[in-house]
Amino acid sequence: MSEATDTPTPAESTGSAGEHAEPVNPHAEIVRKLAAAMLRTAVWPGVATVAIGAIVATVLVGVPGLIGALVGGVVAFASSLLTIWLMRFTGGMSPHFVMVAALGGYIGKMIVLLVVMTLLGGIDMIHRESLAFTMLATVMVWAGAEVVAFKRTKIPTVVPGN
Amino acid sequence: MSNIVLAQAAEAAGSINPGLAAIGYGLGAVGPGIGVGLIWAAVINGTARQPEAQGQLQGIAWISFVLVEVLALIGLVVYFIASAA
Repeated sequence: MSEATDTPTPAESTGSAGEHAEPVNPHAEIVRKLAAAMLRTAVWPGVATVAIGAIVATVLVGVPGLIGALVGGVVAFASSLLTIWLMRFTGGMSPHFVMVAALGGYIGKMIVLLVVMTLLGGIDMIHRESLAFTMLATVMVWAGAEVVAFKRTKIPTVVPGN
Repeated sequence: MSNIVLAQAAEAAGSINPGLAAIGYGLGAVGPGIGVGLIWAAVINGTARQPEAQGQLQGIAWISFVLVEVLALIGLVVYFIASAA
């Protein structure tokens, strides 16, 4: 395949890795574009939610509330970022492998979070309700922001050149 | 008398609370697990019927996955609050 004579397809010409010999998977580009948009849209509302949770918990409970809210925010961020990473990682895979990765990621995340939350429950310096409600608010705001990003991102129904 | 009985019941409930919370969390994680499986099964079916729509189907599937996963995280938070001994 000579690069000088072949006209690149729209999918190939829009790819970011134009210097690579292997063709760019247009479906992977779509999923990664969506993941980037979701991350961009969700990260600042998430930070704002953690900040509000930390302020409210500090005012109501004190230092244990602040620590609890920050830990809850970190756990929520880690959980949400893992999904975004999973999207990027599995972008070029076939749906069969994406299903395996998504279910495996879900099971792994839930087991890790169960262990982490069980261990955190035994620490006196962490206010339990502050952690729980900050985490819940952050996760829900993050999910809402991701839905907004999904609605704003234009995904072509038929990928040209595929 | 009834106060003593209630206090004893509350003490007993407190000691079994973490175990019940963990069982409840496990049951609460089953529903989203089924949901995630159904979402990706639909994507596999859809891609088999219309391979050129794979990117769009995966985008819809990921946003659905996120929303279903929030249910499991709500269950985790409920477990965390309820497991207070």
